Formats: sequence, structure tokens, C-alpha cells
Amino acid sequence: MAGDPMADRPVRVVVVGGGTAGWMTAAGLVGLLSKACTVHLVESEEIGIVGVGEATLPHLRLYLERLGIDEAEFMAATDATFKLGIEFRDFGRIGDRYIHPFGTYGRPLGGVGFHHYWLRRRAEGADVPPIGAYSAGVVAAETCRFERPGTDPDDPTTSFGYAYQFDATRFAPFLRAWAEKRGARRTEGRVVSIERNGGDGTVGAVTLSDGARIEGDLFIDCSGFRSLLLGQELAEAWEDWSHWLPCDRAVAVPSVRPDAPTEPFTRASATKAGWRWRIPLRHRVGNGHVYASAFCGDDQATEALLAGLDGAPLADPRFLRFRAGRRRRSFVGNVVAIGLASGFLEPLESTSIYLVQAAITALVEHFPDARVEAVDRDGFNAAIDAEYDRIRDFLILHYHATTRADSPFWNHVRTMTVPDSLAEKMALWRATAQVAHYRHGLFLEPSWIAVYLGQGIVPHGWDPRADRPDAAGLDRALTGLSRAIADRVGQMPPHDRALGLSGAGAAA
Amino acid sequence: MNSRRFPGAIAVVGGGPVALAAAVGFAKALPEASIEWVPAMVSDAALADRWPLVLPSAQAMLARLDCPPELLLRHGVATPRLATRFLGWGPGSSPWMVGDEPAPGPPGVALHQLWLRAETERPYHALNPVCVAGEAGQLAGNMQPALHCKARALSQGLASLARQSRVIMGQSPLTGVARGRDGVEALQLADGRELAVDFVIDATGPDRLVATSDGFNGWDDALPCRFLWIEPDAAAPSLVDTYQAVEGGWTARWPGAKATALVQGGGIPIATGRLDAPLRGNVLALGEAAVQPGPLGLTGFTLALAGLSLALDLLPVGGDTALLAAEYNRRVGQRADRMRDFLAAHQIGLASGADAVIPPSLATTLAQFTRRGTLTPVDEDSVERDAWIAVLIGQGLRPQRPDPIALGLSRDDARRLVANYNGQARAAAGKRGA
Repeated sequence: MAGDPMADRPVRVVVVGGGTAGWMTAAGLVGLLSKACTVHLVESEEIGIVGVGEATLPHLRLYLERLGIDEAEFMAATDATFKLGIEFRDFGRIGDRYIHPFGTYGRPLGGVGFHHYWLRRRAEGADVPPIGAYSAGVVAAETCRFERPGTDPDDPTTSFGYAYQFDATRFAPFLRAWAEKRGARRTEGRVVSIERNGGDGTVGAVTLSDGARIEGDLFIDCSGFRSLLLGQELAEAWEDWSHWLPCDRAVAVPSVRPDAPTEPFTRASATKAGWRWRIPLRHRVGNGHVYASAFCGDDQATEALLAGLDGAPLADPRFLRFRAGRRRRSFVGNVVAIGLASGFLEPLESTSIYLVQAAITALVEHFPDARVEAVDRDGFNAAIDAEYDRIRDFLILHYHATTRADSPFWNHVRTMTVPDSLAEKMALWRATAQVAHYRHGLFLEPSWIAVYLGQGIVPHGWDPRADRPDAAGLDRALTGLSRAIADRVGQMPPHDRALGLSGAGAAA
Repeated sequence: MNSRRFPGAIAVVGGGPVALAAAVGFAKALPEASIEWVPAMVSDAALADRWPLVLPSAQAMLARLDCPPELLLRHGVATPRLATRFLGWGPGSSPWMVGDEPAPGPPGVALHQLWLRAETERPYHALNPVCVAGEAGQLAGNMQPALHCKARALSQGLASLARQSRVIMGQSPLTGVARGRDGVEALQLADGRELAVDFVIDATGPDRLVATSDGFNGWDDALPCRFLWIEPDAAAPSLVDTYQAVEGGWTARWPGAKATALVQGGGIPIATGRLDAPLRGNVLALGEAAVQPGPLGLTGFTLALAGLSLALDLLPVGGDTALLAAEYNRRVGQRADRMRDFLAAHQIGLASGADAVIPPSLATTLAQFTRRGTLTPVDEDSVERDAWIAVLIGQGLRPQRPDPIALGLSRDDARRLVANYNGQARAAAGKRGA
């Protein structure tokens, strides 16, 4: 395309909306594509940000590393703590708990996955601990210890992943400073009108309340639930998933952190009509209650949230409304929606920021020139479709894999018809202890094993090769492994010391 | 307790390395089972059995059979291949090469995007150490070549391993199959014996003596060079296979042979395609009984080993296997279709491929590549990503637009880096000077 002035000049990117999605996108583009585009972000302080996405997945580390952002600087700026997984309480059954770690269980033996051996001994009535005892990430989380993982992926005592729990309201300002220093331009203002180009109907400019007009070649809709460009202006159809994921409200409140070690994990506790989150940060605890309004009123939800706090509330409860689902396409014309503007999956597995990051990665990979082509959109949309569909099934599993019958909500999710793609995965697991395999996607085999077993979906069949070793020898190996993990984790510093905090945790 | 159980009796039917590899693999995985090998004629079109080439992606499976690459090389069972050279294939007269190992590249930007940004005269393959080494005829110790195996020697070695693994080595070929409501119940043998089976592996190549051809999807429209001639060739062994476009098809130099594949004519007819369900009931089709990718690149044995590897991981044998079969068929199907696309992508630069139909999944891949030089990630592939890129670039495909990350480098910087990578490739290949 040499000589085409449209193709050769940098693409003028206009990001509509600040917040986590907007500033992650702006920072990603100026950090990675500084020669290919200019970035102009429009945000309005009066609109504010959702900012409750406080728990993340290990992938965020790649984002920071790729941009060359220093971890310590990022953690200090956002009051971040380390995160080794998510603890789920009362999901499969009231009283049950398990941790979904960022890492594997044990190691394969003779080409057969570790969990097959564990299943066998459990079925034989042996006194084996929960499978979490064979995960360094789980054991470290449960004992509130942390150090960075080792480099040998085959060493089960040091191989695990970690992420962060942070103050989302501080993440966007941190990225804003970083991006502005590298050339991102910011304009304060509210978008009041959207101008379409004649002919192809693409977006040409947005006009702000003060009359300012901002032209662009590519518009990134980070306007949150309002979906100003993709949803309102382009009227892209909504694919509703609320029949599978009926939670449609959240109420959030920060609280004083208790005088106790800071947990390196996020907690999700099931309630009568949803679940509560608890995210320990350095300076406070983030709490929220995600619930289905068809089964629970706002007052009732707030009451359940406040009753579960382990510290005094620091603010008035804040309400959010949403719907599970997504815009059928995220990239339409010259508009790319990233974050809540493109869809919503409840934060049960901390996927909100991950989905933003996946969209940024896909955008960089499919970055157009000033003339957006169908092939750009198709490539981007195919990548995002795969992410959403696979995460959706995994989230539905958390509700459907239950024996709870103590409320209309749980009766509904327990008995609902799930997508065929999930039903097939569950049937395969139940009969064979095999997890449907994909090389790409967010949640791979260990995650599915964690939730299946954690929520009581125990296979009746496993790899028959796991039946071979003599029971005593197998028990010795299992005990040896769990001890090795416990010993190694015992040498890790307390999480608070790893964070450089003094107080209860550091003394633990 | 465990609802899954081992099968009692497994039969493996086939006369070449595919069947023997399967017999060894299952015998090692299931020492409790009785595994009997039933010989069969190897048809000329069973290319995986006659010309077994193992790409690096399948070599871990060989190691699982106690047949690691270094052993095969040491005993002369295999000769190494580092790259493939294509002549007259695509626009321009320059040859282009595809390495069997990917080229190391810089962090943050893809090597081919750097090369494109540099707009250099140097061919892309000059950045790949195995291509440079292949051209120089030098194999460095740290390289992982593809393995051209001698079919007879490989069969003998695998047969020996099979005996050691207590496979019953039958002498009597198959004459018939007794089928019941739940699948194959017994195999009828030439000596009059009826072999009762719980599970059968059909590795009889395109003859499919047990599996039948129900649900076979042909690929002839995408891979039109369907007639193959093979002649002995006395040329010295080479680290590089050479393919040359000729009128109506192509010719290739393989170790000890010259192959010619044409759209029309005589020779061995090759019906490319795959079964939609290679694992059906209690019959597992493996090798060209399951998927016939044709002669280009000799990829059939690699696909056979990938199928065997997955079968041994999932162990879809004995008892209720329908769910495991669905998972097996899903994954090997994706892998086979991806190989079809890779081979169909070679038709772009081939005059005889002008009428070839481009499968929709390949059209998507090509659209993304020609727009920006990227490849869409897939779940199953037996071919290195770098090989895909080399094939597309070699045939003259160029992205419409520069990679936005590579644009961050000046042209001069990109050229310097490309020169560095070429220097590193030459150094790795033991050549001096840039």
C-alpha cells in the first residue's frame, strides 16, 4: 500500500471513556504501536467509573511486562496485594470450600494426569486430603504465604501462577499518567453527539458538551455499560446470556481491613441468590454482593453484604446493574468496543480485566490502517468470540454444579438447561475424568479440575492406568508430595512480609 | 469402583510402521491386555507406511515407544532432514525453503515482520539456522531435524519392540471381519482362526480393511495432484528435500527416490481426505486409514503418530467409549483439517494448482495473512507456525500493510537486525562471515 496516504499516516484512535478499559487500551496502544497510531482519550469526570474490578488473573503481569511497567511501582500505586487464586465457599453445597489456584495439581505419572490417581484413592476410601494439598498455590494461599514462583515448571512445589488484587479506582489514574507521558492525549468532556461518515456509515467524529469536535479513524468504545458507540449509535444486537447467568445486580462497599494476615486470595461466598466477593487490599477490603434481582431485593442484598463484613464499612453501599451477555460483534465499522461496552460476564472468576486485555491484544494483532477492512474486524471478532464463549461455559459451571436446593435461585441454576458445549464437557468429565482439551482460551485443564472437584462433580470413571500402582506405594508418593509442598511453602515468607507490610501478617 | 476398564483383547491390523507403532504403543500402555498384530499388505498408496517421515512435532511419540530420534539416527534407521527447498514454485525464479525447526526471533516482534520491515534482498529462510545448515550440508548437534525413516528398517525395529512388549505377532493375514451390533466382534484370519476382539486398530492404509470408508470426506478438489510416480534415485543423501514445480504437478527428491505427482495421468492414484469419525464403535482407524494427506511433504506418518499419541492419552478403549471417541474425533479432525489447509496453501504457487479449491478455513487464514502477516491461533496443528509463514512468504504472499509493532523500528534498524539474525543463523550452521 506504499503511496496510499490513508494507509501510510498514523491511525487516529479516539478512545471514548476512561476508566480501567479506556486507560488500559490507551496505554497499550501508545506503548506498543507508537508509530502506527495517535491516541486521544475522552472522558468525563462527572460520569465516573465502575471501578470494582479489583481482582485480576496472572495474565495482567504479561500486560505490565510488555509495556515495561515496573511491578513494584504498579503495586504501590494501586495498593495491590498478591493473589494466588479464588476461594469458593458454599457453591457446590453449603459448608463446602475450595481454592481455584493459578496452577496445576501434582504432576503426571506414566503419562496419566495426577488427578486420576487421586480420584482412585479417594474412591477406594483412602484417607487422602483434598486435591488442593497437592497444589503449592493452594497451600500458600491457605497459609497466607507468598513468594514468586520458581522457574522449573515440572517442580510442583514451586510452580504456580500469581496475580494481583488492587484498588481499581487507582489503576486507571496510574495508567493515565503512564500513557500521557508517552503521548496519549486526554480531553475532559462528555460525548453528546456522534457524527457518521456518508457512504459507509463509519464514525467520523464525536462532539463534546463544550462543542469540541474530535475526529478519528478508529473509535474505541470504552464507555462501560452505556456502550455509547457500539450499543447506542450502531445498535449492535445484544446476545443475552441471563438465562444461564441470572445475576444482574451488584452492591459494593469497602471496609476496614481486619487486624489479621492479608489473604493472598479473593473469596467468593455463595449466598441465597448470588455470591459475595471479598478482596483484601493493603489499605482496605473490597466487598460486594452479586445477586439476581428476580430472586432477591436490593435491601435484602445489602443486608446480606453488610452482615458478612469483617470490618466497619468505609462508605455507603454502591449499586450496579448489568446483564450477562455481549454485543454480537465487538468490532463493527470502525468502532471497537472494549470492556463493559462490549459485554458483561459477572466477576466470579475475575475475568473483567482479562477480557479488556484480551481485546487489546486482539486489537494490536488486528490493528487496521486508516481504512478499516472487513478482514480486520473478522479477525478481531473471531478472537473475542472464542474468549467469551469459553469463559461463559466455565462461569455457568460454578452455578450449575451444585446440590443446593435451599432457595429458588439455586433450584433454578441447578436445574436449568446449560449450553450443549458445557453439557458435553461435563458428561466427558463425569464418565472419564478427562477435561475437554483446548490449547487456547483462558481456563485450561487445572481450572476445570478445580471447579469440578471443588463443587462435587466427581467422575465415576478415571484412567484405568491409575489403578495399577499398589495402594501403599501410591499413598507413600501422595504423602511425600503433599509434605514436600507443605515444607516448601513453609519456607515462604508471610504474604504481608512479601508486601513489605508490618503488623499482624508480618508477625505471622 | 472405576467405571472404566481395560479391554481384554486388542487387534492391530496393518503391515507397516503405523500398525507396528500402534501395537507397541498400546502394549506399553496396556500390559494387561492381549495385543495381537495381524499382518496385511501395505498398499502403494499407504504413504505413511512406505515413506515414514517424522516431523519434530511427532518425535515425542516415537520416544514414548522407546524409539527416540537419536536411536533411529544412530542405527541408520532414519536420515535427518533439516529443511525443504522449493524450486519454480511461485512467482520469480528464486528458490525458497521451509525449515523443520522454527527460527529464533527477537522478543516483542515476529521475525518475519522484522524481515518484511527491512525490505531486504536476503531470502527469509536465510534467517533460519536449519535452512542455512541444510544448504551447507552441515547438521549441528543442537538441531532437531525431521526424520526420514527407512520403512523396512523402521518396521523391523518396531516389530522387535513389539515382541519385547509381548505383542502376539500373528502370521496369518486378515480375510474377513465379523461385525455385531456393537461393532467388530472378531477378525477372520487366513489360517481359519477367528480372533475375538474388544478393540481393533485399523492401520491398513487407504484400504481400510476393518474401518470401512463410511464418512470419508475427499480433499481432491483442494489437493489436485492425485497421481504419483516413484522411481529409484541414486543421488547422495541430502539434509534438504527438494520439490520442483513442473507442468501438471511437481517432482520431489526424497532419500533414494524421485517422486512425481500430477493432476492427471497414471501412477498410483491417491485419494486424499479423512474419515469424519476415525474412532467409531470399537474400531480406531490410524494412519491413512483415517487421513490421507497425499504425497506433498509426506505428512501422513506424523499425523498417524499424533493420532496414536492422543489415543494413548485418552485411552478410548473398553466399556463406554462414546464420549472419549467424540473428544478424540474432534481433536484429530481439527488436526487433519489444519494439515489439509497447510498442504492446500502450497497450491498457491503451483501452476497445476490454479484450479484447486481453497477450503473456507484456509481462506480465513490467507485473508488474515495477506492483510497483516499474522496467523490465527488454532488448537491443533502438527506444523510449526514458522513453517506456515515460510510457505506463504515463499510463494510471494505479502501483507498489504506493515506490522504496526515492526513499524516502531526504522528500516535501517530492521536491516541491521535482519543481518544479525542471518549472521547468527550462519554461525549456528557452522558457516563463517555474513
